[in-house]
This record gives sequence, C-alpha cells and structure tokens, in this order.
Amino acid sequence: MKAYHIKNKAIISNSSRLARGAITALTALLLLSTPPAFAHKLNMFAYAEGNEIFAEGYFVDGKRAKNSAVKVFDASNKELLQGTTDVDGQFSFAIPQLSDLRITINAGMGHQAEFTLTKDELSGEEEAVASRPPATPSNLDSASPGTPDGPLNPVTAINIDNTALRSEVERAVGKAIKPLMRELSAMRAEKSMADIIGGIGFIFGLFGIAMYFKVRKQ
Amino acid sequence: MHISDGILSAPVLITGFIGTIAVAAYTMRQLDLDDIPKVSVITSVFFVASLIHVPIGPSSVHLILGGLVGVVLGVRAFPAIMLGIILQTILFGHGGVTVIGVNTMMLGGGGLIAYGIWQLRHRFDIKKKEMIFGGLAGAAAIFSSGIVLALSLVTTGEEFIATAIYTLVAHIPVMIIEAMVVGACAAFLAKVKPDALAGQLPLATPPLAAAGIAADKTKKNPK
Repeated sequence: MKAYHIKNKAIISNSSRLARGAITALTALLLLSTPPAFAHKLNMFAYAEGNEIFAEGYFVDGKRAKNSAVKVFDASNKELLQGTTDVDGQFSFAIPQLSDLRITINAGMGHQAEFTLTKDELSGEEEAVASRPPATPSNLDSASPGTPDGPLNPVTAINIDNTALRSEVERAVGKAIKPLMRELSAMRAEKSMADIIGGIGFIFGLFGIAMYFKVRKQ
Repeated sequence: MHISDGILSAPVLITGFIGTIAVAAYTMRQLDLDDIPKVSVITSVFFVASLIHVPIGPSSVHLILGGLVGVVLGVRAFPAIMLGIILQTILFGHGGVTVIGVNTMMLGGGGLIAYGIWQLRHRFDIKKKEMIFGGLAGAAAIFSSGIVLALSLVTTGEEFIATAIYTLVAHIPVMIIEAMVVGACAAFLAKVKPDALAGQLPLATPPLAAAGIAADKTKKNPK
C-alpha cells in the first residue's frame, strides 16, 4: 500500500515534469520556427524587361531552384514554351505573345510554383514607346500655355529624343525595382507568428469541439 | 515533403482523397475521450515541426516528425497528421488544397508504418529497445513517405527508380535527424511516462508479455 502511494506520487510528479517539459519544448519549437525558417516551399517571381521575361525560382531558405523545368502557358492553358533554369535559378525568354502568361517552375520532388504575368505588365514598354511620344508635346504645350517663344526650343529638343530617353528610364527603373520586387514576393510568401499560433489554436479548438460532443454522447 | 498543386493528375488526386477519407474514418473511430488532449498536443507538434529547418551543408531540410506521431499516437496518428496537413496547407502554403489527400496518404501512411515498426519492439528483449525502435520508426516514416512520393510522381511521367533514389538520398539527413529525435523522445517517455507511448503493454504483467502481444494485436484499440 505504502509502495503504491510512493509510486503514485512519483507518477504525479513525473507527469507534471512531463507537462512542463512539453511546454518548454513547444516554446522552443515556436522560437526556432520564426521566419525565415520556412524551408522548402518553392517560390518564384517573374517580370518583363524590354522584350524579355525573366523568371526566377527559389526556396524560402534562399536556395535557388537550379535546373528546374520552366513552362509557360497562355490564358487558355496552352503551353507556349518550356526551358530549364540556370545555376542561379533563373530563366529568361522572349515574350511569346501579348496576353496573360502563366509561368510554372517545377523543382522536382513535388515542388512546383507558378506566377502569372498580366498583359499590361508585358505590354508596358512597347505601348508606351508607341503611343506616348506624340502626346507629350501637346501635354507640355497645354501645361504651359503662357510661356514665351524663347524657352520652347530646348523643350522640343528634349522631345526629339524622348523615345530613347523613355525606354532608357524604364529600363533603369525596372532594374532599380528588381530587388524590391524580389523582396515583395518573398514577403508575400512569408508567414508570421500569427499563423503558427492561429494553427495551434485551431487544433486545440477542433479537438475541444470533438471532446465536447464525445462527452455529451456519454 | 509536400507535393504542390498542379503537378499530379486528377485520378491520382481523387485516389488520394478517397484513400484519406477511408483511412481517416476508420482510425478516427479509435479516438477515445481520454486520448483527445494527447492527440491535440501531438498534432500541434507535427503542425509546427515542418517550420523547423536544420541547415545541412549548402542546403537545409525541415523536420516532418510523422514517426513521432506514429510512436506516440498509434493508428490515431493518421487523423492527427491529416489535420496538421490541412492547417499547414491553409496557413503556411505547404503543398496545396487539391493535394491534401495525397499528402495525407504520404505522411500519414508514414506515421502508420512507424507505428508498425514501433510495435515490433515487443518481440525483442534488448536494452534500450525504446530508443532503437523509436529511431527505426522515425527513419521508416520518412522512408515510406519518400516511396509514396516517388510513386505518385511516376504518374506525371517521372521515372520511378530515379525519382525514388533521388528523393530518398535527399532525405537521408532528415531520416538521421528524425531517427535521433524520435529515438530520444521514445526513450525519454518510456522512462518518465510510459503510458504516453502507443502500444504499451500493461506494466504489471511481464510474464504474460507474449500473451499480451496477441491480445494487443486483436484488440481494436491498442493503448
């Protein structure tokens, strides 16, 4: 009888130690699991620059998706072209057609990501080059109706190579926002602590509901 | 080890869902009231484990812990892993909604196989068998999940042997880590709180151990 009591006590203290251990372990898991610990989810992003589209695949831990199969589909899911990424996980190709494009990267072992480029992201440059320069001089004129004849000459001089300038600016801006785009798509993919805690809450909540119904049945 | 959306064909996805629903419906019946707190804690551990990545060389791997779930929960590992995968898909974007069935068959099946390996420990009378069989169960869960992954990718035209070898080689580090984690957990629990482990024999009847195994196997609800 006495031995039973002692054993019982030991079990109780053991189980409270276990509970404490479990809580510590869960906390450690949570601390360890803060981003960027989201390994092995494949992400990709793509952008158009000039007449080319650049696509890039990477795992969330920063590893590049090299030698991965890239496929490009149009809006009606017809395959337009395919290729393979280089060692940096990048693949570039000429714009096949001006429509919405869906690009997928398959890094093997069931990892696949896709990215959709809309039509206006593709056509931005060509249309701008084609349509805007004629409009610009009139815009300038209407913006400054009262200007004397003198300063107009340099303005027209600038307008002449406006086309080249514009495409140059677009190229430069495109280059400058490239890291931003990458950051943005990484941020979109990243999950926060709220998701982790929310998920655990879901689990406990669902099992709580299950328990409620089990208890009522009995 | 989650398959993404848009890779597998519809028949494979549907098979995955049907298989998952069938196995989950059967295994969920084994869920007793007393088990629920334990199952929910272990489900949480499984849910969070996929976020922990271990840097190995130039790459990194993330834990899966299907083996641990199997060793602690027995056949109830399957519904636990299913819920974990559903939440990982919705909240973390691991895998995809259409692939929940296949992913559950892959990882939940690994959990069941781990439980099978774990139960084999009753047939051996060696020291530290909890640690050894826990470790084996942890590795076996990853191994069988890798085989299922390769099998389901075969339907997309990838060659089975090559894919299987590639997948298993890539997961050798995970297997080793999980074997250590599950082995250590099993040994710790066996010492501290043996009834927290699945498939434990009643402690008071060591001479009847052989009979106990038989009873354990025929009983629908092993504790």
